[in-house]
Amino acid sequence: MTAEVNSYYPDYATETPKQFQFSPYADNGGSVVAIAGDDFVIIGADSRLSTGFAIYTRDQNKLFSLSKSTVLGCSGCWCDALTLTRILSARMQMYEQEHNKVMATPAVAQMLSTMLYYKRFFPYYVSNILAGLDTDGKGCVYSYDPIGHCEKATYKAGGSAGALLQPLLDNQIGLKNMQNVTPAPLTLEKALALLKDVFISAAERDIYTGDKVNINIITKDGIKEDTFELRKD
Amino acid sequence: MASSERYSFSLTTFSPSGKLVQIEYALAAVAAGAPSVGIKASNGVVIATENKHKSILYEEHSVSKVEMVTNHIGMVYSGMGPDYRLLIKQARKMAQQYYLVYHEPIPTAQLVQRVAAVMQEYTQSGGVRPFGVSLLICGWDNNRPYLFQCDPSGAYFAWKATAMGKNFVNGKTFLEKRYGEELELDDAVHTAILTLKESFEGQMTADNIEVGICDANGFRRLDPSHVKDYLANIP
Amino acid sequence: MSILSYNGSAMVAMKGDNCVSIATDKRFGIQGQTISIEFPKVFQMGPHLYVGLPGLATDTQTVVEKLNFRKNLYELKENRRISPKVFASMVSNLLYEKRFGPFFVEPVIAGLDPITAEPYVCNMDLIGCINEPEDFVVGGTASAQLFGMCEALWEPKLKPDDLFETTSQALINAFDRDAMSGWGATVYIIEKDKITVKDLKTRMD
Repeated sequence: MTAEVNSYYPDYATETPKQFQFSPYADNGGSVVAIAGDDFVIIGADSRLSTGFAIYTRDQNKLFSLSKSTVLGCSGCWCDALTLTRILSARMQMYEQEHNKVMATPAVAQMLSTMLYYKRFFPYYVSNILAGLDTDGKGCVYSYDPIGHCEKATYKAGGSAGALLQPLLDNQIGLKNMQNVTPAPLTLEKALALLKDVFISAAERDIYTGDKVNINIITKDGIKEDTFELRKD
Repeated sequence: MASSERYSFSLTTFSPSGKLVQIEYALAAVAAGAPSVGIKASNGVVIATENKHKSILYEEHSVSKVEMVTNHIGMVYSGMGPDYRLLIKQARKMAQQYYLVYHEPIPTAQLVQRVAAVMQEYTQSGGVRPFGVSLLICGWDNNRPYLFQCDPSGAYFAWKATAMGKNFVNGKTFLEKRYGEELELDDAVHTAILTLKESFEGQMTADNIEVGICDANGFRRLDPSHVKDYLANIP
Repeated sequence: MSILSYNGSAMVAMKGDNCVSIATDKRFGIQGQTISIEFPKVFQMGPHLYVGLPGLATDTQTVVEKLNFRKNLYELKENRRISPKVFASMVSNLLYEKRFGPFFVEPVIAGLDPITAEPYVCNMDLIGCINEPEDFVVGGTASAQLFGMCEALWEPKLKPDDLFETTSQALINAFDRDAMSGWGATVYIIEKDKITVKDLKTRMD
């Protein structure tokens, strides 16, 4: 008798071999948004860490500062994110000791891609967005899929609310489908205001995004941290 | 199959002169039944009927003739009680079915149309007889009162005021004299009771008539104490 | 993959100040392959009443036929125009009748009440669970993108012109990030004494 039949006839239940499937992945949600300007880049991530309908914590920073000019935002399977960033930091330290200089953002971006692809058949289940200043001090954003596809952009939304946020950024920063507008250089104030706006929108409709946004503002003077409260339900 | 081979003719068939005598007999049953009246007022509508008992041993107010169909529609009849019970059951069901589909209370005109369709069906179907009742259906929707009469044939009429059952001709003549467009609900109740009184045999009390009113607040049957207040104003 | 995303669609309806809007993309595809770029998914059901049926294209067509049938019978029987709210109940009832073998459409309804001219929008799932919000409703394969756009762009008491701009921007930017929908759009702005229908030029890739 199969387990299915047993559930209908509990009186006749017999011990049968049971097979358990171990799932190595969890989805802990979270969203990351990064916006680059000419001489700055900002990256924000919400602070909710959850699984299904349960919230582990409302105060989990998902931004990892890798150097004075590079920050990585991770969401998805949190244990993978921790492992990935731990190894990433180690690799950056080895680079620094070997070459006697801090790894530049584009180099980190390339290495991250390689590291993700290295685990092509047992990937890190993480949505990564890397933000930083390049060697010329210009803001840049790199986004990844879990197996190392890397794309350079000026703005990017990722994580559980990525689909909700990206079209808005396209419209407001990429000026997509806008007529009679002259592209003006993005100011830090506008970028910050927009970042907050999109997170408020995401928190309305995505249950995996909420509580608080941690923001890193990266300029030539270093990284400035900021937070911003979101709805907590 | 046995059932499909069995004939089932309608009992209501044309007479050589083109009349459906079964329906005329049904109307005769109505005309022999207890009188009932309905009057539309500017701010509501009233229906009333006699509910006389043959013996003092009857438990009064245990079985009523004025019934609610939905919150804003009520009904009364002249004719045969058991036939009426079947129709009220169907009417209530139709009202709820309508609400289920449209999430809106059934308009009185719609309910009347559908009840009338049932009554018509019983004039053509095999193996059944027409209903021995005429109905008075009152309702309030679209911010105005409605009053309809529904006959055994399936015909229905919208009235300002009407009487049915025993002595209905006198009742109507009386109403023609007393009716006015600007009548208020309280006066209409008064007039309805007076109309019943026209042909009432014996002493009229709060225990042998029934009154129902319908206005913006919906339909309700007046309780005997309330009817008594109205009777107090009648000479 | 769900049957609901076999053909692809994007749809949105918004409430404004004495007006409502409903907008749709025009693509009909079979999974990744685009077949037509002038496929109607929004239908007029009355002078001020529109219904959009995103989902499986064959069901879009079948359901609109069935709805017309029921709506016409209602209007003849009752000798009056159907109100958006009653129409929504009618759609819900139709869908729930097929509770265990559903039509794969998630209807979006927008209209003005024929008597009070009150704006009304709602949407429902494929078995007729009605959602009647105060602001906007979305549907189709680009619904996540539309939620993000609408949540940021919508504001109360939009006038017809602003409502048109908001609806259009929300729809276009949303379906530009959805591979299954797009390829042109139609926007309907419904006012008491005017209906404006505009076809939008969008990117065609």
